[in-house]
Amino acid sequence: MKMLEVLNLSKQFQGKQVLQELSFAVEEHSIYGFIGKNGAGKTTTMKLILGLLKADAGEIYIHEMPVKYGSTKTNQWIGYLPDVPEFYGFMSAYEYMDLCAKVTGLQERNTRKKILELLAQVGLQEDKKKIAGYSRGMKQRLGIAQALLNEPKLFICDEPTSALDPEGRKEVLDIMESVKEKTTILFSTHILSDVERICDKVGLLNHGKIEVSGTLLDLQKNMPQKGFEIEFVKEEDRQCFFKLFDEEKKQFLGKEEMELALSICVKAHLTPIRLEKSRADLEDLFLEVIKK
Amino acid sequence: MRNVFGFFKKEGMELVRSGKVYITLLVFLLFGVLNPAIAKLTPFLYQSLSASFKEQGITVTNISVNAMTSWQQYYKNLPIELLVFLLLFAGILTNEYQKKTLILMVTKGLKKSVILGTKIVCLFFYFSVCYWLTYGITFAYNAYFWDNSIAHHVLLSAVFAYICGLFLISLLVLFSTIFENALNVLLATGGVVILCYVIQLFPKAGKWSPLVLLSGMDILNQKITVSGVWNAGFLTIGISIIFLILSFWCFQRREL
Repeated sequence: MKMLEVLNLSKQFQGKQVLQELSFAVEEHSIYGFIGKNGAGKTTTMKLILGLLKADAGEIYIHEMPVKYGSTKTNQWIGYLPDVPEFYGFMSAYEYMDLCAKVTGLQERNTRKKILELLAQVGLQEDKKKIAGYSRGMKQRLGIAQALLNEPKLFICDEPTSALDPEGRKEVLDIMESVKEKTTILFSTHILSDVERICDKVGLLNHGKIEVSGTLLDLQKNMPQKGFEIEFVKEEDRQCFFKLFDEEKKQFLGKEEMELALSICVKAHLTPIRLEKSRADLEDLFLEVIKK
Repeated sequence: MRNVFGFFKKEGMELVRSGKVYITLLVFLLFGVLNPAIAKLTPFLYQSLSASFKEQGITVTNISVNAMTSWQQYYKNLPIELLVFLLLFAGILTNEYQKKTLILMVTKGLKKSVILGTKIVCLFFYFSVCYWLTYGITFAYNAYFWDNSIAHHVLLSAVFAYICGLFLISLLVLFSTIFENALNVLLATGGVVILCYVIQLFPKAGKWSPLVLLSGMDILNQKITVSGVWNAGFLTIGISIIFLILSFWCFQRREL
């Protein structure tokens, strides 16, 4: 079942077309990596999904219900974590969560237990100090806790790891991975290693539309070829190999390079200590797409 | 209703923890005491300065003070109290826009109308507490030291000034839904006040200016009639309601 469906979404800001008939869908209980360079329109898309901005054209469905600008009905299924979450600094984490519980309409009798469970999950339990004194990582973790409070069907995270140090990033990604069974995650980022770590499906946003999408496995199959790496003990072997290789290379294309390398080694009696096909990664695909 | 109470609680908590509650209460309380205190101390001040006045050729005769002297202080100090209140609360919405704290509230299902409505009720309630506290203290001291009955329409004059205070808060709310920062909100509110002063300069239009409501002293000593002030009173209430309705319209349309 599709938890989120975006159809032909367009949005313009001061004459600049940010989104151009953008379409994509996110399946239930999956983590969708929404990637694109800064300014590609990721945050705009998320704000449109949340009904915080008005679309120029197109439709958005959450749990098969259309999203309307200014309407908060579909938001009952959404948990939102902004890129830099800001809270009321004069409150403690528990007080803020209690405010969220009241605002979101949670039943009073379950609230306390639920809040304590979530704060424990993100490692903020027993923390009575005011949010004003929190580090960025702590705020991000509190952001996750508040987003999960109403047990959302769709958890929208806008670049949750961009501003964090490696330890903070790992913590946030671990938490996101751990809640995958309970919810569906739309994860926007430009940190590709994070996508490779936790996402099931990826959509690459460029020039206001999804240029490439699919599972990580699908994408890897279609990734640009990157050649191979070869290593010799002796420098003269290396020079000999490349002389022969350069002479014959033009006759061959892409993936046959490895076969050529092997045949040259056999013919010229060269023994490499390592011969390895280079694996193209998401970064190569990303760079190739944004070059267009 | 839980969401409304939740947001009310947050507003109250912010008022206390930001220290605004103490500052405003202290200012309004202080003025409440100062009004009769200055009136009471005036003869002593003149007496102590009489020697230096004599050297300059000024003879100080016996100064008599009464409740009117204290009420005069009350209406003189009122604009300062209003200014302090407006300065402290000019950022009631703009601070939230700048910190983007309302986005999470709205995405959790809190209606924009509830947010604005709660803030308006809190502002009006808190202003009422502060205003009537000053009035109450001044009134009580006046009754204790002198006799309030020499002044005409004491309560009604204060109600008129109170309406003017609510008008200024409505302006503050409206401009808070339009502008991004507190300085612009204050400048725009100040601009409207200056416009009201200019209107007051014209005899025919002047009687409709909301600032006429601050002429409590003229009502107390019967320089002007109450019926004349009612016009400005009703008009100010009407304009304030329109401003508040407009602020809901603007807030609904603005991006957070």
